[in-house]
Amino acid sequence: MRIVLAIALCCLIPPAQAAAANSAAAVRGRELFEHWCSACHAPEPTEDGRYLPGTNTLQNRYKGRVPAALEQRTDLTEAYIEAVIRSGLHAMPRFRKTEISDRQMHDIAAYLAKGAQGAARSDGAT
Amino acid sequence: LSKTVLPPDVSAASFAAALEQFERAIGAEWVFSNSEDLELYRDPYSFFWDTPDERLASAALAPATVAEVQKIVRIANQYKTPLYPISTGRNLTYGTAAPVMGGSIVVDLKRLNKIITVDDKRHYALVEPGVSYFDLYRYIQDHGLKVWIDCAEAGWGGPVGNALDHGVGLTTAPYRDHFGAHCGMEVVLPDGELMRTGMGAMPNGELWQEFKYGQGPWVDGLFGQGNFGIVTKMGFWLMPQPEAQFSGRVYFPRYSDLQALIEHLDYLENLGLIGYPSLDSPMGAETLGFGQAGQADRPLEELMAHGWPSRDRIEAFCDDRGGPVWRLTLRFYGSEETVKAGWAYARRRIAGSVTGVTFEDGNFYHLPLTAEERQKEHLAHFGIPSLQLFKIVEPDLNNGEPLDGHADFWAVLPRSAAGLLEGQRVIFETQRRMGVKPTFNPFSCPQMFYARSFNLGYSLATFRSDPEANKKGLALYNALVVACAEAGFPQYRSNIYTQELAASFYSFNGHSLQRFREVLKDAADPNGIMAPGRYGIWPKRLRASKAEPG
Repeated sequence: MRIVLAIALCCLIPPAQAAAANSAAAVRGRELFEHWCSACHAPEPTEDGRYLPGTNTLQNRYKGRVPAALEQRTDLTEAYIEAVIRSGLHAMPRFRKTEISDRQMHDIAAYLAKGAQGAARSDGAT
Repeated sequence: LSKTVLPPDVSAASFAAALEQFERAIGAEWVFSNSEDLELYRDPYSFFWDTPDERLASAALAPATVAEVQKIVRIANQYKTPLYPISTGRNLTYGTAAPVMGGSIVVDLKRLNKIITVDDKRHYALVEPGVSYFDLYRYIQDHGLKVWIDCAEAGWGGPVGNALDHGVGLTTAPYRDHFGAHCGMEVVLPDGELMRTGMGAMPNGELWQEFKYGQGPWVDGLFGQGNFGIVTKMGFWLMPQPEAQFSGRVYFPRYSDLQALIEHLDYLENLGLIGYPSLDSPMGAETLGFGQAGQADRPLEELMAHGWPSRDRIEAFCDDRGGPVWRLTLRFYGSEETVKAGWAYARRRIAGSVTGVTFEDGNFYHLPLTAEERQKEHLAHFGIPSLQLFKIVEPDLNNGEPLDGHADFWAVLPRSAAGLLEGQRVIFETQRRMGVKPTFNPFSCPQMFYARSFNLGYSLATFRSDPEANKKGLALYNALVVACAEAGFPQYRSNIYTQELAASFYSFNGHSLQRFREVLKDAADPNGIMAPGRYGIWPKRLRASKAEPG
């Protein structure tokens, strides 16, 4: 029932408005990513010439098949990102709602999901 | 999803009534009781993951103010629902956000996140428990303040929670003992009363963060690794931002140089001339990070293959391998003149008493570090929070497999060559006895979290899909706790599963220390609602049963 209602509501929102909303979310998500995620997942190198732990783990896992830094990925879905934030993955712990609220989680997902980073940049966040 | 649990001796009806009261007190949005929300308060690094012994919360509450914390505590007394406070909830390897006693209600203080004061003239801060090291660092940078924080390895932890678990950092000795560097607390006591310690008790003073004792018995110690209240504010002494940092390395040629090395190290550190010292040995592999890094070292494996080697065999091994046996890294903080003078003095002093010692200049930095310099260094030595240490769980350090978590074991040893040798031997023998490949040897080096002792230990892997591996890991972990304690080597902190075991070894005069703590506990917390079982202290009503969750 909840899904049906959500689809119905989406249909009432004009596409341009939905895109703008998504873009705004991605802009917020970029800031939240910087605050909560970048200490592990940024692309910059760290001590000993290694990547940061999250980036290094993904580099080892995918061996270059996809970019190791999350912000450079184009294959992530919002649902997957939200699942990882709330469930964790291997040594990455889960995040509580007192840390990242549901709305903030959606914003981070919007930022990292396919195409949203372009939206964030076109909205003035460079 | 996790099963639902109730606190011991609390009926479902009474629990429901308590939750209703909590919702009225802090808002329904901040009372978490469904299984999906409570998943977030599990310990993903637990040996007991998904087993009946996993310590699960019955609910979680997230107050935003001190007044709300007081309301929660008063309601808990009314319904005898046990509370378990967490600060940032990032006590990974020691329990994360999960309670010591299953069925406890977690009080999640993350929303108490105010940075009340940072004074860079008098070098202190006053913060709430939800403030992380990242938060405090950003605040200091944003405001251009000239102070450093001494942060724990994981920057998402925070000063209050880390200090209250006796956590440690990596700058200079007065600051890296985080509990020792605190000055003044505000605490909600088990009856809901608000108390300030030290000079915080004198309403018209301004010395709360500068003179920690006030007058009379100093009670702050009760709240470190304790369960006598919920700390809602805590002051910390901060290090003035130094102008420069320099590190130098000292190479000692012989195995037998260790005692002289330690005496020099102690002299320099206890005189306040150096910051966090690092010791390693070119003779043996690093043991931090599961002892699995790097290539197999066959000669070293052969040395250790038949039990702990004799002194003669160790020295012969060193002779065969050649080169220096110990490498000591000294870090100096101050101005360009003082750090260079400190290094010159250390060289003169050590060279004057140890023959064959050699020196190597490390990096010199004008501070703060540039962006490029930050990418080369371990940032906690520069008061900068990060998550760099999480490299120890990366797959390339674990035979290609990502780890799900780790449980840290750190024994405290005397700062002597004999003490270190005994610690190495005890851990080696315990690993061997428990059927795991030993990773400790005569060249395993300690960390120096505290200025007057060594810390020797390592991280044991945990898994969320392999209960058998967790069972073996826990058995080894417990065996290490017991073997080290029997040798007189405690842990500096324990995870929620071994606090009880670790506490049992403090047994002088019929456990008089524990009995005194219990007298205090019974007087201060007669309903036994404050963090039952934390570090082995149980309230009277749960003491006999050790509180199985309902």
